[in-house]
Amino acid sequence: MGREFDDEFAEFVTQSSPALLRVAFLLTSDRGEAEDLLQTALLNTSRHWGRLNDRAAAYAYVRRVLVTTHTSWRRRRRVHEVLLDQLPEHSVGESTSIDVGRALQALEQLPPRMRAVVVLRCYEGLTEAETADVLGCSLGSVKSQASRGLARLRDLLDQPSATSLATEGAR
Amino acid sequence: MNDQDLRTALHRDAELVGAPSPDLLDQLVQRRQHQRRQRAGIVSAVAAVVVIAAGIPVGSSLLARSDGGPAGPTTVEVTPSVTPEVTPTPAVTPAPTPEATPTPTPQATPTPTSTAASRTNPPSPYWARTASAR
Repeated sequence: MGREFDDEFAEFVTQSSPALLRVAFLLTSDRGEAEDLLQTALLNTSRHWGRLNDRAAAYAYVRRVLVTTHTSWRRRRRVHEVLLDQLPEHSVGESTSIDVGRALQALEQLPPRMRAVVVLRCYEGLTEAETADVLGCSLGSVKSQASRGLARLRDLLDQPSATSLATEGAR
Repeated sequence: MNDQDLRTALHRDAELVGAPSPDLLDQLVQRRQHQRRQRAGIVSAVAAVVVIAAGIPVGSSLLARSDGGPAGPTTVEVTPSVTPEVTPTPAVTPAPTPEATPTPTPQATPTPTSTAASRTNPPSPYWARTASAR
């Protein structure tokens, strides 16, 4: 296999891929999809790696690519996704073997944009201005999406069981 | 539930994904090579379409040019040479049949009668006249 990436990029991937994979997992709620999303974002970044002057900002750059790629995927897959009445007996990948927590389950109920705002604000600890910069939207939009998303999450997490979560999400 | 509880729950659930696969870089290399092959295929397909699209008008103009140039004199040379050759052959073939049939029959039948008549009739008065005159 030829030498595709330089050492600096390979080192960056080794160091920051665990944290980026966690962000991707919070965005997708699926390990396989999270790995796919991370690989896509890293590939996009590798194409522009030589033009990245500030290597310290590489993590923020990949995180931004993660969020925008996920948003575009959700837009495309919403059209092509086929819902089945019966689930397959044997699932593919490790995603079903992971016991998804309640916060993640509640996060799944949010629309993708609101979910990205909540993840960036609450998990990554970005300010509202930084979140608006990552998402490419206005500060007011981030504020409204964050407040509505957090209120929705609190409602969902305050409910007692998972069945009530699902019914609330269906509404 | 306050914001701190929510942050803690999100961090705890994010840990559920575990560590990334150890061969992440190898997977990236494979995907990049696959993307390169895809791009090369797309570029070659687009180039083929461009060449075909450019070749159609060029080829048609070449065909049109070849139709107007050398094809003119050859048709002009061929058409007159064929038409005189065709016209004499039917003129020759019917000519012997009507000439051959009538010529021997009138010439053959009158010659013995005419020669016999000419030999018998004219000398006799001529010689008779000259002999009688002398």
